[in-house]
Amino acid sequence: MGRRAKNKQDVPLPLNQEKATGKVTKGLHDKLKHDATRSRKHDSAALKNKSANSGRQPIEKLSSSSSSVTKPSAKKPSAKKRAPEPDSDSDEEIDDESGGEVSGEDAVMRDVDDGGWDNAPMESDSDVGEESDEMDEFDSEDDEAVSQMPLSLLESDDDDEDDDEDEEDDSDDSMAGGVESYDEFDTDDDEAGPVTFRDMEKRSRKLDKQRQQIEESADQELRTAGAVVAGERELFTLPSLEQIEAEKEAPLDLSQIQLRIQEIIRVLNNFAELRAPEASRHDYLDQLKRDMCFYYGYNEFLMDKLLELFPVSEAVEFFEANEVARPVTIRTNTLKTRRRDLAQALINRGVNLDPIGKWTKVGLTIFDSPVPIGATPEYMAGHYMIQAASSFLPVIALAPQESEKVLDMSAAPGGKTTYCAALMKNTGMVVANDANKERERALVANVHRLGISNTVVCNYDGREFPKVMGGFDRVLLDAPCSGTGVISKDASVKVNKSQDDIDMLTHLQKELILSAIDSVNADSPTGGYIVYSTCSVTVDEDEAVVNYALSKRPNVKLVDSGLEFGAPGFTSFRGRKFHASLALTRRFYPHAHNMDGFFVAKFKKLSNKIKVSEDSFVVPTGSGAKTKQKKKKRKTAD
Amino acid sequence: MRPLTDDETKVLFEKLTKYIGRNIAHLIDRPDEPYCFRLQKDRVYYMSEEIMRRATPVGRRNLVALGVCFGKFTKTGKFRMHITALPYLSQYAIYKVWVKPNGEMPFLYGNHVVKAHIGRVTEDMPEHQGVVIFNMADVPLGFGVSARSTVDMRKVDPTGIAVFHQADNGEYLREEDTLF
Amino acid sequence: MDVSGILESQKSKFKSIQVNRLIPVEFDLGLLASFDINMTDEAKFRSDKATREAYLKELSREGAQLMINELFSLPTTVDDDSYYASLPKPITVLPREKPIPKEKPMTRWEKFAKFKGIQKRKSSGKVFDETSGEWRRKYGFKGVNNDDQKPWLIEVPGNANQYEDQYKVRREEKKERIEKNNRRSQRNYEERVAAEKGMKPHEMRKRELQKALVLSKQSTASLGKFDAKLKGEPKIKGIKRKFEPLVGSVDKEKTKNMAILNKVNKGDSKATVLNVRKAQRALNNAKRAAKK
Repeated sequence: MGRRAKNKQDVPLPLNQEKATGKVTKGLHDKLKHDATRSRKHDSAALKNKSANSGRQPIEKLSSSSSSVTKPSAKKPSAKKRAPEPDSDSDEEIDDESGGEVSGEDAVMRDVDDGGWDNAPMESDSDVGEESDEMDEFDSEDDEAVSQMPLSLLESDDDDEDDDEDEEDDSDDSMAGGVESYDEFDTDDDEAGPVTFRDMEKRSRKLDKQRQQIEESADQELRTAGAVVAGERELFTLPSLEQIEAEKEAPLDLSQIQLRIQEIIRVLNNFAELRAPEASRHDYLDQLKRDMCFYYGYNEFLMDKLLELFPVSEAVEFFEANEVARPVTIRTNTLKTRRRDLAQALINRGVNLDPIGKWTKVGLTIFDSPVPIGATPEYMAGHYMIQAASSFLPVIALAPQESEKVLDMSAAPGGKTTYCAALMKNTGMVVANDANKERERALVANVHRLGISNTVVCNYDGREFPKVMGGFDRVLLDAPCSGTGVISKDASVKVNKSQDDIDMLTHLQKELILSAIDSVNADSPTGGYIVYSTCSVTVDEDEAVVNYALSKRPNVKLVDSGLEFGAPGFTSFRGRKFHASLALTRRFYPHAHNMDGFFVAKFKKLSNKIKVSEDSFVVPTGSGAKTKQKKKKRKTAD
Repeated sequence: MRPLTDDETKVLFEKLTKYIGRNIAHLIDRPDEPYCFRLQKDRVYYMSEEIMRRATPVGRRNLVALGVCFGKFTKTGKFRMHITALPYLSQYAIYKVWVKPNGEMPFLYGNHVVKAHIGRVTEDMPEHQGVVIFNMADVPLGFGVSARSTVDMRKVDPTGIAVFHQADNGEYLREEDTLF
Repeated sequence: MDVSGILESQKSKFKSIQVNRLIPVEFDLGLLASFDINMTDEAKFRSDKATREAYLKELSREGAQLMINELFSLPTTVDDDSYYASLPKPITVLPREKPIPKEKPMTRWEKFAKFKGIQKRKSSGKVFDETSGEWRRKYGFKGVNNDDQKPWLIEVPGNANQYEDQYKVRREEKKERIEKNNRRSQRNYEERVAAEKGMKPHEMRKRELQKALVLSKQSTASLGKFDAKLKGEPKIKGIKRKFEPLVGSVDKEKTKNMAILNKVNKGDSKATVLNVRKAQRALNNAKRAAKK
């Protein structure tokens, strides 16, 4: 919240922060990867000489070097040794996670906790002998996060920094860990800070034990202090509920949150070994989500949506990419000039540019320019159009031919329309429609500036379309969307989107895509194509809509979009099965393709007759029957 | 959208004549495709017959623009040329003025063309005649009205105005709200 | 000295003032006009132009001569050194310039009077005023019915309220009479106008009323856009402009435009006037080229 507010109130500061953090996290990100590989190496090494591992090691480490990178790897052997149970647990958890169940996970967690609690007194008692020593150490380390919670609560309210906490934990006894961890989980489950009758007893018992343990461990604490410090720094622990609450009041430093994000990702990447036994993957993910929401300034809904879409580490890349502006790209207006001439003219003005890529012959990337690129004489003369690289794609997919009749359903501000007209060499006819009259000013301006004379600009709701005009050879539908692909351009998307918005948009998109399909003449000798694109990456607005269109209009099929790159669309997503041909659609991501997040699907209309009978359409997927049923359900719901 | 009345056509042609003279005939009678002028709201658009024919289903309120806008009729019934007509004006212009690179930006910011910025001028340009302004690379920048004839221009001091500004490409940015 | 010879020779230079006409010519000297009803020579009219012209000239000269002869026979007066002949009154009736006014339709009273056979009697506009001992107008300026002539005493009629101001009653009665008369004359006027337009008076009234309503409705700043509509208010119909069809004949439009263009260019003198300087230069260039 705090970050969001900051973002809104004060522009330059968060920008700087973002920049700084972006850099840091990038660095950290690399480190992270490196870390993971290294830890794997260490792992194998550790496995080889298991026996060589002893309770001494942490101390050695402390003395040698205590860089956070090497620590976890050193830790692992002990974890491995400890028991096979947690491993299996973690496996289960992973399975559960992917299955999307949470209740089972919780049960597992409690089991672990109980065990910890049971063991705790035992361990605390037996602090002689290397074996037990090691165990003990491990426990204390694992519980550190948990244990530090109540303590910090009891002692003081300063929840500031990890370092502080570490120190506190150092001072507190390792034996108490088990008990407190229990306690902590309890409160966690209850989800209640205040004292209730239910946990009154627990609390009093806890206090008693604590007092006792404090006394008992007074001297032992002193002895093990050094070792504990070493261990603690290595193992990352999740903050407690109280801490989280406190953080809401007084947010942590961004850099610390960033560190935590990183730690969690590191743990998640190697969950079996780096996890705290009593914390489930779910807990980690929850914390990660919270931290990322705060750090990147997303609302929870959008964060959930995006995390569903990517693996965690890729999600971070995605978020990082959203913080960085995409390079300015321009499209040469081939009606007035050639790319070579334009590039030369701009270079003469001191502009630093390069072709966008091999996939387009008209695009140029502007790296830096001493003059405003949107106000050069060339721009005014209509030699180029400032246009995001991603918005080339739907037009390339559409591939309009000369003297065709093309419809652009939501055309403003005209980048795609003018590209279409340029590809058609000003022949035929382009109908540029947009529902927003204000935005159409820019559209008309661009159309005229680029010297396009075959365009009719009109102002309709796209859904009216087959009624107003039909029989187009090609239709381009760049649907209005949530804009999750262009967060780098419009950061307000991070916070102002909710499920309702998405629902509303998808509904509109579905209506639009149907009217787009209906507007096309399937008998057109050259065309009969529809291209659907969004600048959103959410599956709801992309694959789901395309799938809906396929089911509602059996007279269309997906065809290859003609784009050589980009990730194929999902054919199944979180239990939802889509038509197999959705693999022909293309997705583009800011972190992977260095352009705005984008989705392109190209349809070919086969006949002008719509067969609406549901039986005629069977989804040729593996689980055809199931999806069919689902579809039927959805249809009836519709 | 409707065809122009005779009076409107006359006003339009009188204005166009100032820039392209008898070349209007080339606009009316094209060898490639029949083209026509149509009035939508107060704007005059020039488009091919086919596009006009195909755009007929679009309602009057919903039709924003089609083809190329030549300008608009003012409330007093005069015709005002817009920069959007530049491609056709530059193609058929009778009198042309080429400005040097240092004069490009001042003109594109809406200033008159001073004598010092002029690179070349069409011979025998009379004064107060419509001229199209190009840069030295032959890219049309806008149009205006000559302040002096070619002969008189020699006598003017370098800061003297040679061509009165009427419209320039910069209006696409400056006047986007009012122009369309 | 005998000057008769000289006079003769002088006389022979001019044509005779004697003109013979089969039928005597009529004159209307008041209008300086002579009317010759003799036959013209058909053959001369039909012949070549010179003969015809000469004949016509001769004819008009003779007519004029006859009239001048007549003029000199008029009685003259001498004033200083000029002779004046006084013309008689014109006898020819000239046709009227304006059309004869239409007959006004009869007023109600006229109709009634005609029906009853009431004759209009000329009566004197004056009555004898005994108090002043002189004749005065019945009404109008210094009329006897004016208020300044009011009696100093009015007898209260027996059936009237005795506290009523009989002077006031008099004033009011008079006012009422005037108003009644005005109403009647207005009615007569309206009926006359309606009759002229061939309408019934009440139809005419209705139309006038609607016209007034539309006018008053439109006489607001918003031209009546936001005014509440009356029940049964007529819909105002403007003048419908007519345009060419949107999609008409291409060729027709083209030819029409070309015609307009030609008209526009015709007025453009600059396009037609020869550019002397340019021509001169072209000539010079040609010469130079020839020399080379």
